[in-house]
Amino acid sequence: MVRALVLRVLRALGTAWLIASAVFLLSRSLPGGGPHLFTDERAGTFGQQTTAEAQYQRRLELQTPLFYFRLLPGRWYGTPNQYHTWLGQLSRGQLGQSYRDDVAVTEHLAQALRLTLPLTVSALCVAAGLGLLLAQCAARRPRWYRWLLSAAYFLDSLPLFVIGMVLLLLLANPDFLSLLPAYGLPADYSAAGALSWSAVPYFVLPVLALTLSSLPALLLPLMGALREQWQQPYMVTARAKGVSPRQAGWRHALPNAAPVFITRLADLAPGVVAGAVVIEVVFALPGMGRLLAEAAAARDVPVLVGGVLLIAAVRLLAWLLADVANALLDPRLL
Amino acid sequence: MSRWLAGLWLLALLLAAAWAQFGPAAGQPAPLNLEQLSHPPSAQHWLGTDPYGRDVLTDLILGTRQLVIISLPAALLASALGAVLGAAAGYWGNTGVRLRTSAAVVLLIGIVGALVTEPAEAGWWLLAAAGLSACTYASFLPATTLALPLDWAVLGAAAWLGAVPRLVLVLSLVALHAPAGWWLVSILTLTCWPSTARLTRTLVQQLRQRPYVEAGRAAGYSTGRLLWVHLAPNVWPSLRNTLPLNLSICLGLQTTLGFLGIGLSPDQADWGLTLANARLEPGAWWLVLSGLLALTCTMAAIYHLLPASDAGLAHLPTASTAADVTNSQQISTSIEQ
Repeated sequence: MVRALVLRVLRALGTAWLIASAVFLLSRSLPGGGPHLFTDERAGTFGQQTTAEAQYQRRLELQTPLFYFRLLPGRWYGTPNQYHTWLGQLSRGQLGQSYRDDVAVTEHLAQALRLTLPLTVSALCVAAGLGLLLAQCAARRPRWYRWLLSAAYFLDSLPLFVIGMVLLLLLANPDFLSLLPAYGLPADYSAAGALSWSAVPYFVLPVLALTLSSLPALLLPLMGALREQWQQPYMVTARAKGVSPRQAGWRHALPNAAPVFITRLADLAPGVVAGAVVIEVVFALPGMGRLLAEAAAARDVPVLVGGVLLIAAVRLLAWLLADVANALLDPRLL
Repeated sequence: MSRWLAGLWLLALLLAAAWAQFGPAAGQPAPLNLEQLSHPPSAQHWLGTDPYGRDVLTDLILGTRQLVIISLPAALLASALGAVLGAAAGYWGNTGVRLRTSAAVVLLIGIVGALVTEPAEAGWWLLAAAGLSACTYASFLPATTLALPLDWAVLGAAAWLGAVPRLVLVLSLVALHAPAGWWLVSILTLTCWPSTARLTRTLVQQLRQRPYVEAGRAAGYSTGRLLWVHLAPNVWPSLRNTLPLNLSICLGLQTTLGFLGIGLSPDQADWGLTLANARLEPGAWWLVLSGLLALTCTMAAIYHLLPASDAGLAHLPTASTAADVTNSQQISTSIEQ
């Protein structure tokens, strides 16, 4: 078991490294992809502009070659290159500085995570709990099952920002129902301090939107698996021996259907962080998703690469935890 | 009945896109009117105006053009690419395609040579490599062969793309290039093919074990004929669901990008952009409502294109057996928008 886990971790780490390298190399090698001080507008004389551009490139260490070699035509550059520097920094846990404000990317990420983690973790917990309850109810009631199935497919087909905007329109609209604050955070929120309880109302709508969007992906497989378990002979035996339907569902059917659910949950964990991209823009929360969206809009590559790496790491961790949980539940699986 | 309605709605969208492309207003955004900022629906503006004074109905109709020139080609390309790669991986597996070792060495040298020389000479290198590797088959060189691990490569690429949530991947790739339609289409294609490929691979893998395929092979039918005449008709009923599903995914991603203001030039009308404008004026319910209705109707119409019995079953694979669970852990799909 340990050997299989180690192999999986190594493969996953390799994947994360490949993806981050691809994004890094693509971003620097595409024409117009690298950062430039001047784009179109002409400021100052041409000579001044060239000098300023060169200084800017030197400050970001962009004047060294990109990679160990280049192709078409081939040429060997050797070690002092951008990729090597980046890899060295990465191995020491540094992700470089943001192009926009020169603040370390790790600091940006840490600040954003302090807001995003409460948001996504609570959304995941609510979605998991709700998914379990609904699936248990629907597994032995065909009418509920049909109704929930079409509702879940409909919810699943909508983009996340649509769900967020509907919630805003219904629950935070000055003309209709103004139950909850629509945007942002309380005035006493500071980026450095801890989140206070006064921020809770500001989190209700984002958490609700994230829950609604991730519910179908949890509910649909679990519902299918539970229904299949209910048709197994052992369930008939359990019922014939006098176990109540509820107990049969939770005690007997669920452990056999749980691996599907746990695997889905692990898949969803990084997806919820990604879903936060949209939700944090809709509700104007300064978290991880907003950081990524703004970095993408401003082509702030160090922040983008850092975010991609972090999300890939979350996915690896989730897979690992799911593997362990599944192996504990059902030793045949490993 | 409902399928008729769905078809009508999609036809209307196509007509609207054609009007936006070739009609009198082609290439221009809806005109601004500073005297009518954020007016509710009236006889003059059926769906009201947005915070810039543009007519919302015109804006939505102009936005259909983006759907047809970006989401539709991306979905078609992703389905085609997924079907071809999946069929190849499923039919040949890891050992089905074999190459002479000598030919492989010659090809490898040719490719490396093409990469390290001047771009103008690269074509000659490739041509020479292809010719020489063909010659190795005719000559007396040792006949040892190498298996090309197609299945491994396709599944590996799919797993690689699935390691980061789709939206984050699209976001970071889109940001690398200046806004351009072809870049967006190729990124959507690149990120959407894996699910189709996995489905096709499984189907073809199951079918090629059937006696009738074996009989065809024994009768000496060519691989192309087996794949196209005998396997394709049996794969098609399950495979045709993937196009609507890919279309809805592409549509969702494209409007999300438009909403975030990334990857599309802001002067092109887009439904996501229309909805993003609604955030400037929180009280403008008509703006949100009409954008949402258009998007929701389109999604529902696309889902109605699926056969009624197994609508969407291919979308979220319900892993139910122990083997399926381990499988889905290795080749896990991303399910976020």
